[in-house]
Amino acid sequence: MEKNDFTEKMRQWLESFLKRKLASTHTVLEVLAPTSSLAKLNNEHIKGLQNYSSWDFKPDVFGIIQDKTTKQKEVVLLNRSTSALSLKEIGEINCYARLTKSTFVFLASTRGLSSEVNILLLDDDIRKRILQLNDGGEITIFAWDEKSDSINQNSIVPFNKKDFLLD
Amino acid sequence: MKSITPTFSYFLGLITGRGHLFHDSKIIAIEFSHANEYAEGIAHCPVCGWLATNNGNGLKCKNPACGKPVDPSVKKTYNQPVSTVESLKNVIIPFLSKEIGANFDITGNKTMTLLVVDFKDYEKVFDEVLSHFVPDMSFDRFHIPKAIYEVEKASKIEFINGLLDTSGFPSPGGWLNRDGEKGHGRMRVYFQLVRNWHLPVEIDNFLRSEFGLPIHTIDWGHPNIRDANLTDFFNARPTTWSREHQLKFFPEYYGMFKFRISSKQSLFDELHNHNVATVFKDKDDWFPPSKVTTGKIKAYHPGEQDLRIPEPARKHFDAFWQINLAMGCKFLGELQKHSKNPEYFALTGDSKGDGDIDVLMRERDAISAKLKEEAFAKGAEPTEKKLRKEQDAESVLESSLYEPLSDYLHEYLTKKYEEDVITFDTSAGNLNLFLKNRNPSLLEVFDYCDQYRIRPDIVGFLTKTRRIAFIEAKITSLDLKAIGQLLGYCFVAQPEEALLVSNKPIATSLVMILKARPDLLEYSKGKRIKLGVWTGKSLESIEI
Repeated sequence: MEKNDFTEKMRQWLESFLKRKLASTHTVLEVLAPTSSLAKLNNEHIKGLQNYSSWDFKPDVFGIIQDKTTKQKEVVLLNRSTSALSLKEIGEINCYARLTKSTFVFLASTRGLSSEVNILLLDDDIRKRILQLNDGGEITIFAWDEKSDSINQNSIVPFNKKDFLLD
Repeated sequence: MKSITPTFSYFLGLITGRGHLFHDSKIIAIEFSHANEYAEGIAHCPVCGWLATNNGNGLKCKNPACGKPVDPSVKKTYNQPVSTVESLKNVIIPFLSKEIGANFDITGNKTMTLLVVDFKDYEKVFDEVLSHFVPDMSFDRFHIPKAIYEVEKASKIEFINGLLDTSGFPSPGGWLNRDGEKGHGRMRVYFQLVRNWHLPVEIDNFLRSEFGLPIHTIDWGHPNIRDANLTDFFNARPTTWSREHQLKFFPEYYGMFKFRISSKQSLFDELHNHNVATVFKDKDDWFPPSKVTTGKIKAYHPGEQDLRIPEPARKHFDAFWQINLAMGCKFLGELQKHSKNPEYFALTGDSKGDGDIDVLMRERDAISAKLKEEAFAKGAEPTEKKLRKEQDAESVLESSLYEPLSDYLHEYLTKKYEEDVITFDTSAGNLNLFLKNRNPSLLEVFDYCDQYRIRPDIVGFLTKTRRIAFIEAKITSLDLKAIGQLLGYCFVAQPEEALLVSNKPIATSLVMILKARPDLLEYSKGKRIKLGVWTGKSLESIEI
């Protein structure tokens, strides 16, 4: 799949996932595929978020949701790749997630995790260090099955996120 | 709220021009940009005193009766980073410190100096500053604080002084082709306003209403203004129009203001004195606007609907003042309100004229569409693409850094830990395989590395204490992506030291982020990635 097509597919998936999953707790304000770094986008929702001016990076898909009770705006990140995911991509989104204090963070690939990272992530300590974020959030990784046009159910890492992602 | 003093106004001006507010860390970072290390002053002919400009074959006097070649050494040269740091240390920080309780720190590089104002122990002051900008957090969104419209004149002047120090640029390169009574060429100073679409009009209106000052023009970062002929669009630079906006003015009317950055003030004085000596009688104010005649209609540009442009200006314009009107210029608004036909005025700039708007729009639409067609038919040579390819070919290969950095790491670790150290270039493959294939005896000592399927560029082994250290090398400026990559390796291997090194200077924007969020570099309790610049001979560490 072409990178741009995959980005748009992931944007649509994330928007529909958030609307379905968070219907009772959050309003989905916007899910977009940024064309420049977040700090440079002329977007009202982004400019209402704290410290946005230091967000000098461009995630593939960026979502803003709003807690229905507290009215607090929260950030959702998704990066996509058409090659197998390595520590490079995971470290990158980990850094973005910590900077933005994202509520949900996803990493998707049509090729899934590289086998070397797959093995590394079997180690509990290493997995926690790589995927867990400072404020309790966690990066969720999955492979996108082009044939079925859906998430490959067996690819989700960490495993305990399966129910959250698939039901 | 306590009354706003001139000092506090100046601080608000600095922030409005180039400030970032970091709520969580109680930090305000203010950018002082100087794209070129050296700025040059005006060249005047030593024989007749007229302006001399570069005609492609060196400097030549503009006086038709003289026309002599002029040696470039007549121009004064200013080292901008040096003068900015000195002015901050010796003038600006002492001035601000008298009233503003905070810790001041300076950092930066050749292209930007950053003033970091830390309010951790002065939260009340921080909250007060914040109250003037709520809910906005960065200079690309700030408005002129409402309170500034109410303060006494001295404070209003200081507010503009603050704006000038951060976003004001006196440069002889911006001269206008005008004849004066005693010479040629009218110098201009400009406010450079980055991604902020409110401020150009707000500053224009503020200067006009509070001080009665003329503005020559607003050069909007809009495709119809910056790339009216679609030249950049066809030269592989389709979005160069999206740079900053420039509000240009003639310095001879602005003597009541001052820059505290010494190089800027010296340049301003040069420009001011030139215009005064050359004698220009016309104020050359853009207001009231000039009429948009058929010959001034611009081609449609594919960038007109770009999302970087805010909605009121996300459309086609034929003149810069039409964007002023769209962005809320109160002077144009008044003129429009009292014009014979407001819609006709918005299209033509003619306050007394009238006509069928649909017919007028159809006529103009046809011209814009035709101009666009012509531009597309003409196209352009992809010179920029070629240029970039050549530059890429010249780039230093990342691999050329590995050997000197490996030597550096060896020396650094040996000195610091006083034990035997071995360093390797491991960039070609995974660390565990490197050890298995190339150094099995070392793998026996560092058996825990057997599971490390990671590939940092250089690894150092402290053989006695069985600790490891990494270097990740880059030939591009360090960014969050590079930090993320090394973080990934560090989360896995928990090295004793991890260094991220580039042969390019670090972007000041990254320094700013890391000053506010040093925790981004942390990969284990008490352990952080260190950053450095490789000069070719030594490593200069970057203190965060």
